[in-house]
Amino acid sequence: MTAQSAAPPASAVAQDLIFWYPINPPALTALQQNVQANVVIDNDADFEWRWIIANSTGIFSVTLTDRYTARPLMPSAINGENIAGTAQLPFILPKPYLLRRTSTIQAAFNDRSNAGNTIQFCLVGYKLS
Amino acid sequence: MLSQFPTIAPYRGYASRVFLPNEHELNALGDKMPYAFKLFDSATLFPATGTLASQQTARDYSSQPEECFITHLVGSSSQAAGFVVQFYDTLRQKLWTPQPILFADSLGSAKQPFWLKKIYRLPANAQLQCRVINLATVANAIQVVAWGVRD
Repeated sequence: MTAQSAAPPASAVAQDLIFWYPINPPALTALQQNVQANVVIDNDADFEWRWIIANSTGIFSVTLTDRYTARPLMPSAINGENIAGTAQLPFILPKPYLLRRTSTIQAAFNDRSNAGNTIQFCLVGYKLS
Repeated sequence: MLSQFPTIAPYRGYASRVFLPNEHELNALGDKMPYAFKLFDSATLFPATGTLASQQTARDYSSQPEECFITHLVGSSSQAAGFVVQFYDTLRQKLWTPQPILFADSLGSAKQPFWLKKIYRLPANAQLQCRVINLATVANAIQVVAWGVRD
């Protein structure tokens, strides 16, 4: 039996890494507004954000802000149906958006279902090698 | 029997179900940031109810500075009957459609957006107006969003 090398091959390391940054706000109560949640980009690589994928137990709206530039990505809350898809049919950003390492994306969620709502909101893209 | 696939023009959309911009087209957008230009939102127009009343008409608009572009259109309706929508560019003084169009024929969703063949420059220091008529016999929460980029 041959010994396995612990280090991955160089070709794999040089490849951009597909990566999900999930935002998991606390479960929203009925019609709860402005529930804040953040995600911080890891310090090991810049992130090229390409898709938005979300799943929830009810309809919601959300406002996203890039804390690195302190600029929102929308004037006010956008309905979940208009901002996030599924893994089968992901929402594709108008253009890939580069998020610097250690920068923060802030999300403010609002429930529109008039019932409890558990949301997972994923920023999906590539960690740049 | 064909030895190879016939040559088709992918930019005309024949090769794919929807048009998607390629890397070259995306790179041409430069360092702009993605942005959701909200064209109509019953939640902000009618904060008391968040909805457009049964079979009523309302207008909303987006006004932006220079160098803002639209890449795809999406919209949502809380009622299956939906709505019709008509756009007006006050800078060009042009309607996009001769009459209001069913939302299913003019807007997509986040899962399947309506991608524009060519990016559309938003009228600078003018308005892109959006007129919506609720087709449902009950109140309807309606939102129309143009996704794109800005400086």
